[in-house]
Amino acid sequence: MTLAPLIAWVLDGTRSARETVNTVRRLELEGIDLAVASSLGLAQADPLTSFAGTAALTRRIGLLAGQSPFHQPPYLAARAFGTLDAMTRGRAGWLVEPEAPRATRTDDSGRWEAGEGDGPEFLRPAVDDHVAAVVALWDSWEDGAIVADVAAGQYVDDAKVHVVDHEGAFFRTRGPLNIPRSPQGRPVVATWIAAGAAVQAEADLVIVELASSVDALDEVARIRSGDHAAPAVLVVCRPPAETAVDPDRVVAVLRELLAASGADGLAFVDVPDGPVAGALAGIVVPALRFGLDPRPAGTLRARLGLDAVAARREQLAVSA
Amino acid sequence: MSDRMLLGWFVNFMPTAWNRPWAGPSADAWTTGDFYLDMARSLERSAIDFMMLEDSSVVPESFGGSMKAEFQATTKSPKQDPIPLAAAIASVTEHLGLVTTLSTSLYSPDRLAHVLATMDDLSEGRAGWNIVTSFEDLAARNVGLDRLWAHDERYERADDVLAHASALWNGGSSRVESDGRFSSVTSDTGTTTLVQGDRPVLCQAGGSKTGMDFAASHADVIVAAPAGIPAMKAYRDGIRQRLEEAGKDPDSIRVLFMVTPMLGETDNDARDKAERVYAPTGDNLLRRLVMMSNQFEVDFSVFDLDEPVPADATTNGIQSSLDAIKRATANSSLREVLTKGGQSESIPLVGTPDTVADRMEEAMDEVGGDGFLLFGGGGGLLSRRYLDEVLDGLVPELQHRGLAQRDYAPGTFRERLALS
Repeated sequence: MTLAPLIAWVLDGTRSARETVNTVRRLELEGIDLAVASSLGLAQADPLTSFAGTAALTRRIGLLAGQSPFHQPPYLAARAFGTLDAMTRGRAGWLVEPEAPRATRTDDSGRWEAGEGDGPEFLRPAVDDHVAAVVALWDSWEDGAIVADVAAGQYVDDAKVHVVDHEGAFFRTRGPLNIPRSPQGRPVVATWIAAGAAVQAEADLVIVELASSVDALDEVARIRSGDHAAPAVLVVCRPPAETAVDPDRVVAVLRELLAASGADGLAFVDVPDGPVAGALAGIVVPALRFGLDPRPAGTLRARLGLDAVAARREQLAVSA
Repeated sequence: MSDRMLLGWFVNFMPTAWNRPWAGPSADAWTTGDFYLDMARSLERSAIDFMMLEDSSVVPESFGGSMKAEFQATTKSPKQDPIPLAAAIASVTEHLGLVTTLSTSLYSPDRLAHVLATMDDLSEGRAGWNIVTSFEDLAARNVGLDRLWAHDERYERADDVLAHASALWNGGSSRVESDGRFSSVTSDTGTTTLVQGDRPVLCQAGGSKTGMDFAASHADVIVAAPAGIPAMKAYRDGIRQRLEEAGKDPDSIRVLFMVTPMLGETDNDARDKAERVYAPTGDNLLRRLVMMSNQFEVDFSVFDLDEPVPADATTNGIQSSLDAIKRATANSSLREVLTKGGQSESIPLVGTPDTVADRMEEAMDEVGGDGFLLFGGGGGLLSRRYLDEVLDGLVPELQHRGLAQRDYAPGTFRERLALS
C-alpha cells in the first residue's frame, strides 16, 4: 500500500509563454504530476500568467508558479493565485521566491519599500509577513459563502466574509478578498531550499536540494518536523551530465533516493529537451510508479497528500 | 478609415445571471471561467473585434455600512482576477482582441508591463490594456495605502505609469531607468519585445475632462457612454479636436460607444422585454442605490426613497455629486429618479435585429464612427441567452449590411484596428 512518488518537472525559464503552454500540455500527457516555473524577471514570461494560459487546456497537472513576495502586494497575489485555483479546479500553487530577480520601484507612498535594500535579517520577516497576509486573505471567505438565496435576494452570505485588517511590520491589507474561497481553500504554498535551510512558514510543499554529503532521511525528517502541519517534500534531481542515459540505472538510483529519504517525490530540474527528457518521462517515471498505488486524483493538495484547508476561524478578524 | 463599425464586448469576471430568467443550472460555476471561455469562442465565431475584461479590487460597504447589500445586488463583487482569465482565453482563441483592465493606482508599473508583455506573447499580438485609475479608498486599503489620490492627481500619476511601462516594453535587454514626477522604476532588463511593437492596444474610458485629455494623450481606443447622438458626436469630435491640437492624426484613435441591445422577434416583444428588465422592482432599485452609494461614497440607505434627498445631507465622499442628486430629486423623489435609470448606454437599442441595426447605422452615419462596445449588464445579469440573441440575431444583420466584419483581417490586434 505504497503511494507512487509525486513527479514534478521544473520548466526551463527561457521558454516563451506560448512555449510554456505547449510544454505543460505535453507534460500532462506524459503523466507528470506537477509543472513548476520559477520567476526569472521581466525578460521572461510571467509564470502565473503563462500557467493560466493552460487552464482550459489541462485537467490534471498541478501548476506551481514562482513569484517573489515583493513583486506585488498580498491582496493582488492572493487574488491572482486564488483565481488560478478556481479556474483549474484546485491545481494551483505559489512557489514563494524572495530572491527572484525583480524591478525596483519607488513612489512617495513607501508601499513598495519592503524587501528593498534589506539585509537577510529583514528579508525573512518581510517574506513571512507577506505570506501571512496572503493566507489571511485567502481565509477571509468561508466555505459556502455563496448561498444564491433567490427568495431572500442574497447571493453571498456576508456573515461568511470577513475583513482581515492585517497590520504587519511590512505589509498592511484590510480585505476581504473580492473572490470566493477557491477549491483548495488555499492554493498550495511552496518553498525551494538548500538542505539545512529554514523552511518557509505556511509551506505546504518543500522542494529541497540535497548535497551528496547530506543524510537524506535526516533532512527530510527535519523539514517535516516544524511547528505547522508537515509539508510534502520533493527532492531535486538533475539529470546526469552525460547525454547517453541508462534508464535502468537511473531508475535504480532514484528508487534508492526515494527509499533513503522518505520524500514524497522528485522534482526534475534542468532536463534538456530530446532523448534525456524522453527517457525520463517515457521510461523512468513509469518505472518508478510501477506496482505502486496511484496518487489521489483531484486537487493539487489531494495529490500531495494534504487536506483542503478550512478557514482558520481564530485568525479571522471579528467584523461588525 | 474603414466603413465598418468596430465591435467590442465589455464583461466582468463576475457571477452570471442567478436569480433572473435563463440563469442556467449553477449559481457559482462562473468561478471556473468556463462561461467566459465559451463566450470568447462565441465572440470569435462572430468576428467581434475584441473582448474587454473589466476589473476592480474591493467589496464596497457604502450602502448601509456593511457588505450585505453589495452581496445582494452584486454590483462589483464577487469578482475574480481578469488576468488569468485573459490568459486562458488567449490559448483558446486565435483572432479575438483581449483587453484586460488594470489599475495604475493599485498595480506597480513593472507588474503591469510584465503581465501585458506575457499576454502579448501568449496571444501572439492580441493584448490590450484598459487603463483605469480606481477611486475607492477601500481598494487603496487593500493594497497598503490609506486612501487613493484625488481624481486629477490619479491621472497625473498614471502619466508616470504609462511612461514607465513604455520604457520597460521598449527597453530590450538593456537596463531601464524611468523617473517620473511621483514614481520611479529601475530594472536590469526590459520586458520581452512585444509582437505589437512599442505597446499593446491601449484603451481608456474617458469620461471627465481630465479623463478625455489623458485618453487623447495615450489611448488607441476610447470607450464612452455620452447620452444620445448629439452628445456622442460632440464627444467624438472633442477627442478628434484634442488630437489635432496636439499635432496628431485624429484617425489614430477609435471611439466606441457603450450599448446594451434589447432584441425581440418583434419590436413590441423587445419593448416589453426592456420594460421588464429595467422595471423599478425592489431588486433593480436596490442595485441602483448600491451602485450610486459606491460611486459617490454616499450611504443612500439613510434616505427616504419617496422623498427628495434632503437638502442638508452631507457626505465624506464627493459633495458635488451628492448636490447633483439633490437637484435631480428636488421636485420629485429618489425613487422616481431611480426609476428612469438603470441603463448605462449611449443610445437605447430596442427592437428586432433589423430595427436595432437601423439605429446603429443611423448613429454611425451621424456621429462619424467608430463603433460600439456591447455590454450585457454587470454582475448577476449576463446569460448565454442574451449573448446568443446578440451574436446570432443582431450581428448577422450587421454583417449582412456590411456594417460588421464577417471574418478577421490578418495581423495583430493593433493592425486590425487600422489605426493610422
